[in-house]
Amino acid sequence: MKGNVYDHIFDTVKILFLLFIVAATLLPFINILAISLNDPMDTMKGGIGLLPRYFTWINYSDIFKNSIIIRATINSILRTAIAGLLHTFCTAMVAYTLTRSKFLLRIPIAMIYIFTMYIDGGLIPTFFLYRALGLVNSFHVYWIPGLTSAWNLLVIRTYIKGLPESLIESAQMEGANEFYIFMRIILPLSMPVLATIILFTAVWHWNYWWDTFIFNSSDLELTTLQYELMKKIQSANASFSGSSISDAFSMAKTQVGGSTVTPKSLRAAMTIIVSIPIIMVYPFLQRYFVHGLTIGGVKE
Amino acid sequence: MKKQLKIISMLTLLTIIVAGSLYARGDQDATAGGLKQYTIFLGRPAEDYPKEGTILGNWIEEKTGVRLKWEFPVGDLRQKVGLIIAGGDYPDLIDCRNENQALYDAGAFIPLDDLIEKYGVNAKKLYGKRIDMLRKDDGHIYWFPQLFPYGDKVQRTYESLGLYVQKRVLKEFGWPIPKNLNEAFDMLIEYCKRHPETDGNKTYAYTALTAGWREFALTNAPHVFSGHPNDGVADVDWVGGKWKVLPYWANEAAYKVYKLYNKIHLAGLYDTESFVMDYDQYLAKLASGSILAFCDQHWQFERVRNLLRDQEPKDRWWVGLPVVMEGYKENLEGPLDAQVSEGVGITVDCKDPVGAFKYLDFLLSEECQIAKQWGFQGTDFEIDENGLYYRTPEQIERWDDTKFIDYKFGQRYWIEICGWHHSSCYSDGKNAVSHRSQPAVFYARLKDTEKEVLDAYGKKTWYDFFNPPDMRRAKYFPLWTIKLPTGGVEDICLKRIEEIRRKYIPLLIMAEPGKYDAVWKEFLDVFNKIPDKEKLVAYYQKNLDDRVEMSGGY
Repeated sequence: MKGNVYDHIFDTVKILFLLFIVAATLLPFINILAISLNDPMDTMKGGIGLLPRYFTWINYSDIFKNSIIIRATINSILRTAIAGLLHTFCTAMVAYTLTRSKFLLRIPIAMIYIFTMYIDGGLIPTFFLYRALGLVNSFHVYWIPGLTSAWNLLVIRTYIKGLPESLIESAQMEGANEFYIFMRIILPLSMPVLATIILFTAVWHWNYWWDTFIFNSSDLELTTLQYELMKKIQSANASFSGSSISDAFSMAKTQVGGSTVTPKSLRAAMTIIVSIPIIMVYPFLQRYFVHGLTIGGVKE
Repeated sequence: MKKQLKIISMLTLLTIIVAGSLYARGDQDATAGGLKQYTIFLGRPAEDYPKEGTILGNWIEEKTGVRLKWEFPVGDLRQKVGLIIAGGDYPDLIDCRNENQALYDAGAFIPLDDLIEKYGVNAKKLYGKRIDMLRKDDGHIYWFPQLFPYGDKVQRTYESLGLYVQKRVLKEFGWPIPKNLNEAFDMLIEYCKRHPETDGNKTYAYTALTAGWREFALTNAPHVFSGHPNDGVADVDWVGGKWKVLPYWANEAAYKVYKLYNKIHLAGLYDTESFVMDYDQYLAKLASGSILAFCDQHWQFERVRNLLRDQEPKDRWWVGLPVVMEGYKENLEGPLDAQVSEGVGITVDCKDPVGAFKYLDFLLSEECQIAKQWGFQGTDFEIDENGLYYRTPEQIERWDDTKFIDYKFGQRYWIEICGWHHSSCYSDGKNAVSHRSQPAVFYARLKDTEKEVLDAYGKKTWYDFFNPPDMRRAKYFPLWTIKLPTGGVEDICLKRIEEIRRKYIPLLIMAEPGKYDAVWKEFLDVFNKIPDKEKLVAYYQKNLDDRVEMSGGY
């Protein structure tokens, strides 16, 4: 490390600050992990820190004992992969088109997109539209409606605008058509932003249960993991909070090691289950987050 | 170009996967084994109906030749109901709990009167002359309530609500039943002085649940401690030969109750964290055993109570006591409530209303109630020589496993459809509808630590601590099931009252010494400015009168 004493101080402060951020984000997660591996009845007493007090798998086994979970997981993976890739690809195509000044409808189309960011049709009209399009009770509702989105479009467009125009011009002089330019120049150079968008979209699709609830709830085959977990939690909540009818009298036995799953422990286990796949995807996209190698491509 | 080909072929592949995932699905609506199939939407979250069926479900299928295809809400029920109405495809049978009114307004239900006339053998038996209670404003019946009392006999073993005091406190002071709330609070404060710590935590005399809709544990305190059964939104008193709705939002009882709470706070023993705790934290706090007393309804903390009953030292659980403020009469137990505002009905889209009705009517039968609540003789319960139902220890064990009861036996799916009130008796007049209310099962499940308390007080059940219900209330009870029209002036007024009370009740409880009256005055100033209060009370009064009218008048 070269530089003077101030640099050192600054670096130390920086590292301490970053360590603090790491702790602030990681500790709650470890706490959730501990709760998910702890006996539910014991958790109710509070005070679980970073380690479980009574280790048990029951929260997880309770979630996975249902055979539909497998089907739901497959659907979730499918929708995440399909929607993540297709959405990013299609949005990038539109974004590239909207950066070409030759394209006359550039402004109106951009306007239409931006319009959708502020105003939507509301739930019931949307439902009617999807039903008319045959998207209700079908897998397509998971990927077709969100094929492009305004926000991601703006992000990608801004990035593409930052690429040197001369790259595209020179390619055109060599006789490349627009599609070729898009595929061979723009896409590779936009990898950092595309990887980010893929990641965000994937996370979003992985966590989204709302459309299953609204459009596909009557077809079990189309259920998604998040929706099943949501069901699980709500039914646990319902039996937990009881009504005048709920038979609190026959609540399960409650010694440590008893088998009552509480909403809180279920939530913790579910949080872990749904986070892990996304955490596993992250390293694979990591390498694209470095800046695109445009340096040296053009001499300005 | 090669790369393009790659990408295009990849996309094609994806499309094929999608298409494949679509057409791989079998035919959904094939009816199995010659059974009729009806779809049902039940507004209460549950896990999907098990593919392999359930013990109770298979028995009902066998009896009726009907299989149900279930759907349950996930997420916001109101939104789901809005969609169902907008989409206009109703399932054959529907029960949307507190959203039923919206379905009714949309014309989703068919009237059942003629069907009851023709086929309602069991319906007539259960509802008898009280059937008019089920009628809507237009004079027709559209749904069967979740539960309805059979006959007049009340058979309970558990308390409904009250002042819950920890067993160790009662033991220390020689098993008293405090004469009034003031005395009870003095006892709690004294106990805290003697034992300021519990397992390293500070001992608190009192707490109150304030999380979201559960806040009634705090806000209904004037209602409870002036000795009223749980009408929820307002007191209902017998005035001049009629039931009269009297709000407790800012009455004398409210002033006195929160002043007593304030007394505990001034002694430094009120758990002020409770004002910001969520439900989980409340349960955790109770489970720590350091809270001596609170006011609540038993089902909100039943699990914690069970947990602490089984844990050494076994004196940290709470006994419900019939304690009210000085000058008020204790009448905390109400009659059996008929929740007529919710229930299951047949929709206009049902192609076979007669078949669906016959199915519902079977669910109303005594035979089906016994199966739902008790199970089957020999595996789930036995009958002794006096004709009383009981369970052997093994059967009790079997029925203690909620998971088994919910999803293997299948009770959860049918328990809220066309029920008899669980604290009624069957037609033999001696067996309680639910095993929960059956003395034999109650005693068999008592733990030693509970027996000690019951023996010390010389009571048979927890219910015996309380005065018997005033059965005249049965004509309307309970008031809280009267629903305000969404967005109307009454609704808005009630919301504003709740808001202001939510703000001032903590301020009252935490008032500095000698400042209580000043805070109370400030509260009254703000409270009195709320418009339409008399409209709100009048709305409840009118609906109450209508109910009394329907159940035969005074």
